[in-house]
Amino acid sequence: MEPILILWAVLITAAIAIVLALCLALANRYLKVEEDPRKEKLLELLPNANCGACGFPGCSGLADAIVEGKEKKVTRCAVIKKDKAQEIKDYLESTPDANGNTLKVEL
Amino acid sequence: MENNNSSVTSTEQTKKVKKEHSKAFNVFTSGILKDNPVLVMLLGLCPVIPATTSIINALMMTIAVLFVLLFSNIIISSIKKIVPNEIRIPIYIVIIATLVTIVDLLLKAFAPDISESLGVFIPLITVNCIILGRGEAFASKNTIVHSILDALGMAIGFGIACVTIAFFRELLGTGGFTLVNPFNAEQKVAWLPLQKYAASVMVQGIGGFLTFGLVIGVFSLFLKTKVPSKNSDTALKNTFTTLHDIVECQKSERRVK
Amino acid sequence: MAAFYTALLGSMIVSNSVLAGYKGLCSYLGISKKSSSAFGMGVALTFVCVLSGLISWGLGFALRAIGIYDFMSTIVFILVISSLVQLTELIIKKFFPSLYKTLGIYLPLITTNCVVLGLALQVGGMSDPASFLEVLGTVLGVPLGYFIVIMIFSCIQERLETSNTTYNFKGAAIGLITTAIMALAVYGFSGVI
Repeated sequence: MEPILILWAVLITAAIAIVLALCLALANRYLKVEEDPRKEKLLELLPNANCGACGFPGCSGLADAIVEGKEKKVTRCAVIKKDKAQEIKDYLESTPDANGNTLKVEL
Repeated sequence: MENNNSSVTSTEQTKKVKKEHSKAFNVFTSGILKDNPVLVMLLGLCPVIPATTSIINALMMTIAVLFVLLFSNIIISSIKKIVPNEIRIPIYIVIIATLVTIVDLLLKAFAPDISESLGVFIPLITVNCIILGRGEAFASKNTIVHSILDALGMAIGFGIACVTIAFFRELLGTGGFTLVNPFNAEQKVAWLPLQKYAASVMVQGIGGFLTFGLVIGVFSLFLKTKVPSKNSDTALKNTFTTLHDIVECQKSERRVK
Repeated sequence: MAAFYTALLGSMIVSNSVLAGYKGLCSYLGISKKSSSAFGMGVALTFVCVLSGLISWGLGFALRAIGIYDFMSTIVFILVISSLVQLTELIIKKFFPSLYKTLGIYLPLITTNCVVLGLALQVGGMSDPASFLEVLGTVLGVPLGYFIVIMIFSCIQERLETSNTTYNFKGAAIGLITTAIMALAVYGFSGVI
């Protein structure tokens, strides 16, 4: 096997990776969905176990339900710890949404 | 007084060392039976059925998965601090794909008959949920030593599952066991006591699915594990059942009636 | 045209990727508790399979021309597939938000679905440029076959949930035994095409 093939392999893979990365970056720009930023922060604070014990599809499901107001109890999550739940409660009560309303949730 | 202090600190130190040892021991043994990746966590099911057509195939698949799992855990655990969080999954995938290519080429060179009978399922180790799952869930958050132990435990668990299923499939499908030297297909040792009654459907897919389902069911009966089911929508059923618990529940129901 | 239909029906039923090819079992057992999520998974998988299959076929020619196909095929194909899955996720999130909520965590898991990589490796190895119709039939037939099987299995699972199974065989074990019976049906077709 000629050693030049190793160089070709690296070049081709790098070229494909760069093209795909550019496509994804463009798609991320043009296909972006405007989402309530509190959902992302809530997703960071949740334990991210994706166990489904809360009854919602994954932790993102619970985060969406809490921010949209459909779920009032933070401890619906079976694996969250008390201090994290309190952190979520404090965050939601201190951050207003686009209209200036804050969310009241129970522990 | 000073003697007392030094003895207190040395007992604390021995306690700490014992705790670390027991955590490492737990990490290693959890993958073998309690959190067996195939039979309990239901990860990495794709290569199980084609690789369990004979015991030699199951052993070679286990060795391939062990190689890839061990080195991918080591590499992911080594680079976990310098990898940016958003692109970690494609990076892990490329690492695993490279290791799988190495294994594929080694098998094609040294054990070509095994490579042909396992077919496309050696490159498909790349997308095996065990390797990516353990790399993402464990190796990216733990030390190198713990990642090595976890990889060994998980691979041994995979091996136990595969060899069990292959045992029954080969016994019922060909009537006995045929041990073939993987590096030289001419050397065979065959012990076929039930060859007249062999049902060759067991080495096809049907027997594979059937044996796999039965082994999962019987395994969860004799081990204190939760009933394996894959779903992210329904609640996690944390019921530990053994024969003893079922009998107790039936007794209590009869008492109520 | 005969090549197209032969490839389509062959890869859809005769060499069905789940029942005769043993691929895609992880998501097959996991997604099929509800028919609606199984339907969405099938549609997303069809999209990813058609695109990645055609791109892999093209890339196979380029890699073979340079001479690096034997050892770079896995890496290049898996890069293409994971990027396509990311792209599909963005498209579904923008244009079909309810489908996105249903699929949840299973959409990124199409990356680790053996069906897609198996299809890419299969069509990447087809080295005849004139076999475009056959390739088109294969890349349409494989995900449609998977789609049929998970729809049937999800309907069966909805009945299995409420039936009187022995406790330790509930869930995956009885699902796999049911799949064995379904595999019997496809086994009867083997050798037709």
